[in-house]
Amino acid sequence: MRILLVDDSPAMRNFVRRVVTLAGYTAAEFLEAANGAEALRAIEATGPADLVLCDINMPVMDGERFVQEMHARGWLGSSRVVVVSTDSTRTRMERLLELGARGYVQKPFTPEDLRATLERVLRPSGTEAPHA
Amino acid sequence: MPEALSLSDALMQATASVLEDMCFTALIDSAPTAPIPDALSAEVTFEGDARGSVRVQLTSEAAVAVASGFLGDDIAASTDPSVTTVMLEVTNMICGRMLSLHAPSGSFSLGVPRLASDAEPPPVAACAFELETGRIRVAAGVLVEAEVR
Repeated sequence: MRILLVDDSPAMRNFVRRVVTLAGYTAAEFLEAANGAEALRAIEATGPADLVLCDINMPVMDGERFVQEMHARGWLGSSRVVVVSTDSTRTRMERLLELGARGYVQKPFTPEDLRATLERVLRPSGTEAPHA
Repeated sequence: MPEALSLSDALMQATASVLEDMCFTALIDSAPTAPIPDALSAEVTFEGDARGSVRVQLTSEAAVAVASGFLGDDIAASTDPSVTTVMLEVTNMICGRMLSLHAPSGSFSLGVPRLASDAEPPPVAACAFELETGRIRVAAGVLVEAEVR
């Protein structure tokens, strides 16, 4: 499994990678990007990631624009995007889910919060529970 | 829709959840809320349905403990650059969480967290805790109170 971590904070990327690994995804290959534009370039260069964990507030290209670009390029079918952010603005969350993001985890989160979201999002198609 | 907390309760709960859930650092007891002399300080501003700032102060030993917990690594000293990085991230998360607890329907955008050495604006709410190692103090200044919808 290829997991792309998109956050301008290297400390946060390190934290998320650690929690994802502890959640059992020990064989995952991690890619990292500091903003949406870097993430798009990474996908163009190396192919789709199975899972993208993406912050919203980032310089250069924020997470909302990144999800819009993923949607516009038709890449959300091959890469499942979960937004991980301090931003809890309801309208923004709804917009991102409508565009095709599969989940939303608000920082701060417990390792269990993230693991539960990943299990739901990575469940095989057809068995996925509806968004809450 | 979750019930909105007072700014003071939101600040305390946000601080506790960031430290406990993401830095694996326990809050031992409450502490005096006066500014901590010679502490490391970081601040983030926000705007939207309300405008203001959150400032976090950590004693140097608390900063090392919090950074070590967040990174899952033993940090040797508060001069390690990763301490600053974690402190900015902690400040960002406390502010975001405080706003979502205080104004669950509000719309806000956060600025870029920065290290703060200037005078602190008069706080509207503040809390402080003794940690296993050192102390944290968090203060919120709100210039225009949020209208909780």
